[in-house]
Amino acid sequence: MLSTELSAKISLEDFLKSPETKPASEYINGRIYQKPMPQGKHSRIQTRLSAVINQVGEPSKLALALTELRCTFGGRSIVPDIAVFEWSRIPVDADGEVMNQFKIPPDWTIEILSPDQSPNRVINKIVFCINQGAKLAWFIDPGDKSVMVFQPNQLPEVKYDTDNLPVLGVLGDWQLSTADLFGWLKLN
Amino acid sequence: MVSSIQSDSKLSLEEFLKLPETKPASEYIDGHIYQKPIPQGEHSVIQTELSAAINRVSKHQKLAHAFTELRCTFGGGSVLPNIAVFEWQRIPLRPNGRIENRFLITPDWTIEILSPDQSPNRVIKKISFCLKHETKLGWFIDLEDESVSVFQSNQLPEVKYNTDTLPVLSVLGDWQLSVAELFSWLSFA
Repeated sequence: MLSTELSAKISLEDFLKSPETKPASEYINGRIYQKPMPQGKHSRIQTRLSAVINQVGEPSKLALALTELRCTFGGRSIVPDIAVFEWSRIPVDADGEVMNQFKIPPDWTIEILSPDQSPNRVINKIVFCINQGAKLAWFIDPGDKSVMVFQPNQLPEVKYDTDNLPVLGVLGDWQLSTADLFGWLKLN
Repeated sequence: MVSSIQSDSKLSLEEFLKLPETKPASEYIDGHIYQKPIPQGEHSVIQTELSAAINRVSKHQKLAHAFTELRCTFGGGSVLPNIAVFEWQRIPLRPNGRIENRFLITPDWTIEILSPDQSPNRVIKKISFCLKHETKLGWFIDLEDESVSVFQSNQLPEVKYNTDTLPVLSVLGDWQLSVAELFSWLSFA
C-alpha cells in the first residue's frame, strides 16, 4: 500500500494550508494519503503521454494535459498523474495566464499504477472524478500492459494490444492504441 | 509482476478444455490462457470464510450457493472465480437431483480477491467479462487497501470501505455484511 495514510481526520481547509509534500499528498474523505514516488516506467509513460496529448491538443487550443496538478473539488483535493482539461475550461486570470488554483475536476484523468500501489484506492479517485463531471479516465497497469477505461454510467473496459484507446471528443480523430502507449517503454 | 502467465499460442476454447487441468488452474479469455496465482494466507482466509458466510445465509432456505474455484464455461471463455455464487434454481442438476460437474452458465455473483503482484486490470477484465454475460454482481477485494470494488451492470464500480454495507444478491434478502466485518476475519489475535 503505497499511498500512505498519514493522519487522523482534518478539514479540507486545514489540509490546504499545510505545506506541500513530495511526492504530493491527497485529501480524500477527511484523510490524507501520500502518493507513491514514480519509478521508471511510470515516469516514462506520464511524461510521454502528456507530451503526445499536448502535441495533438495544444496547437488548435483543444485541450491541455498537466502533470501532478492539484485539483480541489467536491470536498476532496487530488493530484492526478495527468489531468487533461478542454481548453475552454482551463481557469485563467485577468492577464490570460493559467491560474495556480484549479477548483474543477479534469475532463480526463489519467492514473498509472505504481508497483505495490492499491488498485482500489486509485479506482476510488477515478470514480470520484467521473461522478464530479469528468468525461473519461484511464487506469494504466504497466505490469499487465493494459489500460482500463472509465466513462460515465458504464462498466470499465480493459484494453490490450491493438485496441484503440478512447480519447476526449475535442481531440477529434486522434487515435492511440494500447500497443503504441506501451511501446514507449521500449528504448532499444 | 504479472503472476498470471500468458500462453502465446492461440487455442480454441474446445482445444483448451481438452488440455489437462493445471495447478493452480488456468483460465481461457479472448483466446489466451492465463494461470491463476496460488492463494496465500489472507486470500485463503477471505475466500473460505466468505463462501462459508454466504452458504450459512443461503443454503438452508435453498436461496443460493457459493462455490470456490469452480470452472464456469460460457460466452466463449472459461473462468474460475475465487467464489462463484449461483441462485439455487440456476444450479445445474442431473436427473437424480445431484449437482452437475460441468457448469456451462455464468455465476450470478462473482467474487475475486487480488493476490500480491497480480495485475488488477487482468482480474477486473474477468469480472467485466462475467457482467457482460448476465452476472448481476461482482466484488473485487483489495486486501492491502481493506476495500471492495463493487461492479454492477452498466454502472461505474463503487469502492466500499469500513462501515459501508456491501451489496449482495437480492435473493439473500436482508443479509448485511460490512467491509469492516469482512476484513475482521483476517484477525487471528
